[in-house]
Amino acid sequence: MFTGGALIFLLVIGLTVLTIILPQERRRWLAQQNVVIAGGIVFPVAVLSLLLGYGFFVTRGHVGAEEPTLRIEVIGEQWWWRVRYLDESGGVRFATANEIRVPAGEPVEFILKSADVIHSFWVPSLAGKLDMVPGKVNTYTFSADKPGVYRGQCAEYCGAQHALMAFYLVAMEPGSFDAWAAGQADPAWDRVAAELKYGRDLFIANGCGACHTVRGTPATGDLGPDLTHVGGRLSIGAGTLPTNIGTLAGWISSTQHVKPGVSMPSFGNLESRDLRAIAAYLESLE
Amino acid sequence: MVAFSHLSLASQERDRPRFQLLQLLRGKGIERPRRSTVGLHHWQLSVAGSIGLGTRRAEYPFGQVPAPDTGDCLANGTAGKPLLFAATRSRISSAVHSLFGFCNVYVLLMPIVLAACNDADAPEEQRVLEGDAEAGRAAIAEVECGVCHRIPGVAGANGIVGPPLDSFGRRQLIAGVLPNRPGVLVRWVSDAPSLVPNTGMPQMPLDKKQARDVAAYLYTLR
Repeated sequence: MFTGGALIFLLVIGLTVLTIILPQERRRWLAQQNVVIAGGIVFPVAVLSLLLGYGFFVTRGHVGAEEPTLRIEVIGEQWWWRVRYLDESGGVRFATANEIRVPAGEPVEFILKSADVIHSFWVPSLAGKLDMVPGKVNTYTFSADKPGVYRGQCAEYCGAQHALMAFYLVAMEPGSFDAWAAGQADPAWDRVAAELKYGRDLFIANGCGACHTVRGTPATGDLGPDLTHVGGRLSIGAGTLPTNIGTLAGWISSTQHVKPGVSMPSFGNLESRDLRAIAAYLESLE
Repeated sequence: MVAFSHLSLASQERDRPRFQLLQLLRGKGIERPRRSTVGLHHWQLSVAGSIGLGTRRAEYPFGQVPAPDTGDCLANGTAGKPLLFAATRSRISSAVHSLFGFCNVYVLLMPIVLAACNDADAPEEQRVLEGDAEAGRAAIAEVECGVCHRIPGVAGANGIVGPPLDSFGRRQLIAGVLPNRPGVLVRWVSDAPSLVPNTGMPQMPLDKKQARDVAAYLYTLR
């Protein structure tokens, strides 16, 4: 492939040099109609057609490959990712956000949608980007060969916080993936520790449940990310910050400073202890 | 400053020593532009009259400058301490000498002599045993202390939830409550609620080594 390209390159350069250095009568043959048709049309068409066929052959494994073993619906929203794991019948098995876990080595079908504007789903280390278009469903099947954490990023400008619309795709060993998925389908654990119960009550009392769901509690909002297992995710704010009690508290207290323009207001009204308690509760939701 | 604004730059420079001296004696604040055409005047001298001479602060953009040798009353000055009185640094002072002559140097040195003996407000740089400031900076970035605090030297650390940590090495109280001492700070950065129960700062996921490193970094902010 490289040799062929190099030969064509040298041929073109050589002919160019000849047209410059040869006297006019000796380079007249280059302008003949037959030479122009052969070199300008027949040759490129033949070479590029061969290359196209070769390209199809090389990438045959990527197109309509195996049957996916897992189907995940990913919906782009300003500026986060709603993630739904589907069961065989297409129903929602469980919902999560901003983090996609898959079994390594198994083909996964991503069903890509948008809730508002055009986003683009992109995990650069694993596959090319594919747009998420409002009113349209795009599907994309690929697999992560090796376990690991792969960063994903919205690749279509979608508004003020486009740059902070990221996610992590975590490829796990199939066995641990199954355990993880079973845990995700469970509702949030019932908290035992007094501080965490206090935090849960404050979470409900401050109306967080109007937009967020924590399964197993009265919080059933659907506008923002499902937080049932938020403490077990690598990031909060769609790849904006690592998850720990400090970032959770800082995010809750100054959301509009950390990520201006998102739908969530800054809860600067919370008292210090209450803020800590809510953050501790969310961190405990693994 | 405003009163001098009608003067040409040259005459401002010429008049500066006398102006500073007068202002120092009157206990008024002086703010000078941090950049000027001469390039040497990247300094800022501010004197808050209400607090007294002790609050004098001169900042030089030349990085860390060794503490001046001004006798016993500054004996606790640590080498590498960011500098209050950089006019004594040979490189700068020779330039100052040549450019401004004796008068200016005198004016710059005078506060050194006065402040050096009145350093209750400017604690010596505190050292944290086995604390690695550079590792501390990395730990601060990793756990994102910057979500809540503005922290010089840490990218993206521009939080508004807690206090900014500029000049933390010179801060007298932690959280406005506890004396700013290494032992207290090491515990504070990892487990603030155990020290001040109504703080908004939660327990942070830092192990003991990381807590020492973070404290060491904070003490470099002066």
